[in-house]
Amino acid sequence: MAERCAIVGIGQTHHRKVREDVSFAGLLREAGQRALDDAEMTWRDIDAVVIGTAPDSFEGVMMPELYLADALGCAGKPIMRVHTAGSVGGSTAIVASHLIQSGIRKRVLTIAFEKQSEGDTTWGLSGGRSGGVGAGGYFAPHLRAYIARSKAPEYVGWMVAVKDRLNALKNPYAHLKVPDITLEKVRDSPMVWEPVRRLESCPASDGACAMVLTDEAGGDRAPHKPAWVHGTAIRSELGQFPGRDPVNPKGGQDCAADVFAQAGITNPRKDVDVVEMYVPFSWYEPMWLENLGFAEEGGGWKLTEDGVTEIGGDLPVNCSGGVLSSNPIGASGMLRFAEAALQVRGQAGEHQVDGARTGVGHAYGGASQFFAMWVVRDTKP
Amino acid sequence: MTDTDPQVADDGPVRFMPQLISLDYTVRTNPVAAAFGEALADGRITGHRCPSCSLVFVPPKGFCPICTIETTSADEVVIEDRGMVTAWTVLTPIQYHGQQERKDYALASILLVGADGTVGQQRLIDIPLDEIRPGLMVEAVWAAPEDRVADDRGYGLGTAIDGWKATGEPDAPASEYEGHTL
Repeated sequence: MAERCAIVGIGQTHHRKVREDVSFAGLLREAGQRALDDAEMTWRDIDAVVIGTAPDSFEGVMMPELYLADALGCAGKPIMRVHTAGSVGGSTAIVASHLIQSGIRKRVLTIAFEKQSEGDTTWGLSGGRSGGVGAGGYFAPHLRAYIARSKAPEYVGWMVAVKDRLNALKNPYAHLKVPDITLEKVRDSPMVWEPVRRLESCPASDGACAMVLTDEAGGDRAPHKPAWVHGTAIRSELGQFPGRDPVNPKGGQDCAADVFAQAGITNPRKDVDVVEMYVPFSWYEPMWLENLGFAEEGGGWKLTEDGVTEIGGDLPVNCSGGVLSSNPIGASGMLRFAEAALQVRGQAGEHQVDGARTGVGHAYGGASQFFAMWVVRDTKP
Repeated sequence: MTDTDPQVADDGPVRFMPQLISLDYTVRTNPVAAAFGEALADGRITGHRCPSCSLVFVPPKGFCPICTIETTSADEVVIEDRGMVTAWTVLTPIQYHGQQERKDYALASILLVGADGTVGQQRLIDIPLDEIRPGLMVEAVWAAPEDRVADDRGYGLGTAIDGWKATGEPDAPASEYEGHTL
């Protein structure tokens, strides 16, 4: 049987448009130190580091893990870099968990980051050429197709934006805070990539997230209640081929089915207490609710409309404010995984869901083609 | 102080300095993309028909991602430079360095006649933004021969086609564009 994996330390930076007070290394140290403090460990206690960030062209620094090894206390220790575009934070945490579950390492620090202010993501995505569409421009036709197919009312996208922006007000680490957010304010914000309005979009952020994962013995000794990994799954598919459906990708469906089966979840809507999903544009909430099996096809938007995904609802989604509120791209997936773990540890502070025991973290990346998920609980598997 | 008088602006200590660099590099284009580019320069759009599942891929990848088998020049077919809009967005261009777009414009996925998958991010021209719809039939407006530069990574149609204009034909029925969101 595989070794059990415990999440004993979680840390994140204050995410901002520009973290001019820190370098890449300083940003990672901040998140890493917080995770170690939570675990009551030092850098010396770590056996290996697994690091993730989005494509290097976003910041123009190639293979940053090489120069960051020193700052991460990694001299003489193994360090591994993970690449899966926007889903990388999730995939990185999963790779770290597998180092524990396979018995190879006992204490692993996993860390993911992005410093968007030191580069230009749209430039990076365009390959330096004019006319690059950026992420929003690429995904917008998929969102339009979802709206047409599901016949969802336009205001559902605004509702997601209002919910996540209100949730962000309860999260001290969140970047974008819009205290006076209303449906009208979202509706009246400029259209950027039709049908995506500015307030339905994620910001560009600097930030990092880190977790300390240990084996079962480490979890038993942890100073604060750990979260336990009950399932991990990764799927990918090519970005384009005939029959591929970016509105409801097969890779996402299979990823969810796999991770839920590992965790013994037969009815995700009922068996899951809290979800952190990768929603960089508001319409991804209803789309992923369907893709991951929380709602039937065409029914995801009704959960949003009925308030089911609010903190007080019976399937709260993105209580942290989500990617819509903080988007240090490389870290965004790990933040979803970490926030799910914070919830089942009862450590989510003001955005805590009362009695959350089963949490799901989800990330997607590339051309909606890479998927990563985990299920965490407050009890051992 | 006016916008045109930066000398009196005081934004505090300098924290960031944009520093542009230039870097020359050579891309070794793979043979399948190179052949596709040569055909484009000639005014032809080509694809590969998978010998196993018969699906036609444009641009050709040199393999069928569904059957996971190689496709070669022997599998090449010529595709029409005419097709239907399946999906689109209207963009407000982000002004990154090198961006030349200034005004809102539309990019569409187009399912070409003879192909089984769309070509993405195609510029629509001379079509009012509020008249774009799925099923709209369009045809290529080719660039001048000397301006037809293929994408060296093998993505898309490079600069061979300036954009796509409406043909005036009746819209294609939904059954033909459904399932082609990409």
